[in-house]
Amino acid sequence: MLTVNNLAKIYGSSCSHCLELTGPAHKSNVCPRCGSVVACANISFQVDKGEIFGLVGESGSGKSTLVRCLYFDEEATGGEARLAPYQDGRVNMLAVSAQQKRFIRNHLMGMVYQYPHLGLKMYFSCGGNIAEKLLDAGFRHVGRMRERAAELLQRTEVPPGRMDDLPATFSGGMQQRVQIAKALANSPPLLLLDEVTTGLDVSVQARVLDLIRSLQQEMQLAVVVVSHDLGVIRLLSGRTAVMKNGQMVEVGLTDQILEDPQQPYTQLLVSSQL
Amino acid sequence: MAYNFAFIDENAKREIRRKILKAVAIPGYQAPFGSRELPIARGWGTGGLQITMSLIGPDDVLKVIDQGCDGSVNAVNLRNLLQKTTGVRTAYETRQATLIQSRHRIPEETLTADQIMVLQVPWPEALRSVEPSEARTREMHAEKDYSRMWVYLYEDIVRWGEVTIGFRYPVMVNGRHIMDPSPIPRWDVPRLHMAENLYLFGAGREKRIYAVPPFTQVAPLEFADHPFKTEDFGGRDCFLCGSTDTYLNEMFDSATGRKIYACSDTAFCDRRRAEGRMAEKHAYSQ
Amino acid sequence: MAKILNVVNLSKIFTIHILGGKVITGCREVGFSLGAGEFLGITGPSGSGKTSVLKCVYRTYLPSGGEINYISAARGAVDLAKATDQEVLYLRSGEIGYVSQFLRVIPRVAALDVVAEGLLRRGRELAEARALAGEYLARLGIPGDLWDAYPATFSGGEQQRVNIARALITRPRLLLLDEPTASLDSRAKMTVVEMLWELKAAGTAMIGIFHDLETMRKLVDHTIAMNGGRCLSLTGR
Repeated sequence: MLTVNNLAKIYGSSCSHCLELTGPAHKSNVCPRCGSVVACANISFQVDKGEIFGLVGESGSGKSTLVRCLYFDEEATGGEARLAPYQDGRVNMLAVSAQQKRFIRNHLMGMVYQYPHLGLKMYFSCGGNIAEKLLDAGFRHVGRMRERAAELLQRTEVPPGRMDDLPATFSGGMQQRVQIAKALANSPPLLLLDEVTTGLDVSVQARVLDLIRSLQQEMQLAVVVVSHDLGVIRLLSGRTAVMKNGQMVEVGLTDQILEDPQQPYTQLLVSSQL
Repeated sequence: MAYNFAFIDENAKREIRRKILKAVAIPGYQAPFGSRELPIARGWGTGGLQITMSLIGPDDVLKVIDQGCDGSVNAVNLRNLLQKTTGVRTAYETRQATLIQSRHRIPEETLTADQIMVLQVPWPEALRSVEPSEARTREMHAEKDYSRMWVYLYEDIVRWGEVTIGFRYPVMVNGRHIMDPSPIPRWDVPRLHMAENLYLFGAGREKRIYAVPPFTQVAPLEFADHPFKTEDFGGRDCFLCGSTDTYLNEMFDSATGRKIYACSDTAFCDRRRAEGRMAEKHAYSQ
Repeated sequence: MAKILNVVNLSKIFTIHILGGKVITGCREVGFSLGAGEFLGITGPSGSGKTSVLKCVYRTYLPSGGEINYISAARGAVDLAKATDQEVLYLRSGEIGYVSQFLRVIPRVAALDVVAEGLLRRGRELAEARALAGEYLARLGIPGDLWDAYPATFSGGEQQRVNIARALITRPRLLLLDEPTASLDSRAKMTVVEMLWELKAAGTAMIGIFHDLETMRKLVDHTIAMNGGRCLSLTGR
């Protein structure tokens, strides 16, 4: 479904030494020559249809930057990303025009952010937020959009009666569920989740995780889950990549990463679990 | 005369004409232009005025209206300025004019291929209500990223049961750009569609020119289940000419204490009356 | 009987970098083979490497050496020691099951849905999957009024039964059992043995570690005894 090759995102002027002088071996993602920040580099992985792929690592390891590059919130400095349903996966979507990127964002991908205000327009009603995605896909019928929004809200366990309320009046868990409903509005084959349960009450966290998993199974979505929480990764993802200083240090089956970590950093991360 | 023909200098006119050509070439696109200082404050029709000044020639016949009326203060002042600096003939009858500058209305009479309609625009950016940043709205136009404008209409319908925009109803021009048609009422919006004449829009304060060339598709934004509607006057008629198919102004009759209605386009109303039409039920009062 | 698993010289060595590169042996040069419908028991004291063998086969552990040749119904011969992660995930979802000692599931998912999940993943209808999950839970003695409850609130024995139900319901071709009956009473144990028997008869090959040798004796065709990570003996029934 998704193939990423050598993706990199560098903030700053960047020089020819940035990649070789940063990363876990140097315990830093700041290039000592030019001072550029290598947020992520040498990132390659694949996610299959119906698969949940986990990205785990401490804050600043580059995992959020990576998904934001994939959702075009940030412009990748280099590398390729291909999506099977877009031009049969022949075209590097990081290099297409802004209009094409918007098409991909609206039809082929959904994103759920850690902070609801990044994914939702707080001054639009919750139905309006979902309608935004539908309108972009060409819906021009208010009644039908409301039907679809009600269906999505029902599915994500938000009372459809609150469809016309502003998301600002919702609890954190409910805002997250509205974000998920919005992300799924056009039934995209790929869903990106950036720390979606961070900051939620434990009980709410569980409901959101369960929702994501059942939706994923039902719709056979390919999902990339970013989390610093190994517990979330354990419950959701089949395979997991561990990130450190902007690079992937280990990729494997999630249970293998947790029970038989190979790399020193992964061992440290796993053994530091509460 | 101490001034150049039509007040502004020839180089300024050429620049503005180039921007007009650009605007005509990309219907609905806002072409930036170097708005000049005029002996009128910005925001008082200077955009329309500069378009008119750069296009007018000695053979043109000029008509200037404001809110459908040739006699309002602003219309009179603009007409006087243009007339004094060009010496061209002016017309009251819409049919006789070759160049019509207007604010808030398009004449009721169908315009022809020989006429150019110049509209004064206070806020050229249709997307401003949903996006405060100019850089972002330009990007949105460039990418035809209009979902937010549509959500705005959706929210309006959800909240009020219908789109509540009365003036400046956003239109899609040539299937590409969303455009602010200037503060004309919804009544006038359909006249932009596939018209024989050229429409030019000028915003002096905001330094933008845009155009709807002849025979261009102009579609008000609407939903399949909430189609665009023009104002409904509920079968009321003009108390002067009896018209029931024109845009009407509501007025208060202090003598009777009742509301009365009159054509907003005074020239059109006067012509109908000259042709002998009269409001039946009001005929006695004439 | 057709062999479906052939393990050759399997070794697992752990290198603990955070303990200065300390090396721990999981298992060394373990070998055995298994046919369809056969049950292999692994015995030995704690730390003898039983779980390492099981987890290597399931690929929770990355084998350090040797081969784990599995004949997949869908993909033919696959060396699980070298298969890609995606291949392993595919086999886990369709052919290879694992019953761990502890139940690990998303909190606040009803027991019935926990058990039904594997069937849903294979495309079964929700109602059908839930009905079947109910049958499994009922048979394992979980009262119906607990089906909607969250397994996290269950007793150890109840959790273990949910765990067994969710692995057995998919009827895997190869089933790995790590002390599945450790916290069960004798009646529940009998039921589990009965259910395993049925699966076995239908052709499921199994490898099991049982704390309780008595239970195991009823099921095993072969036994390997392990100590210090090595396979000491291989005996037939």
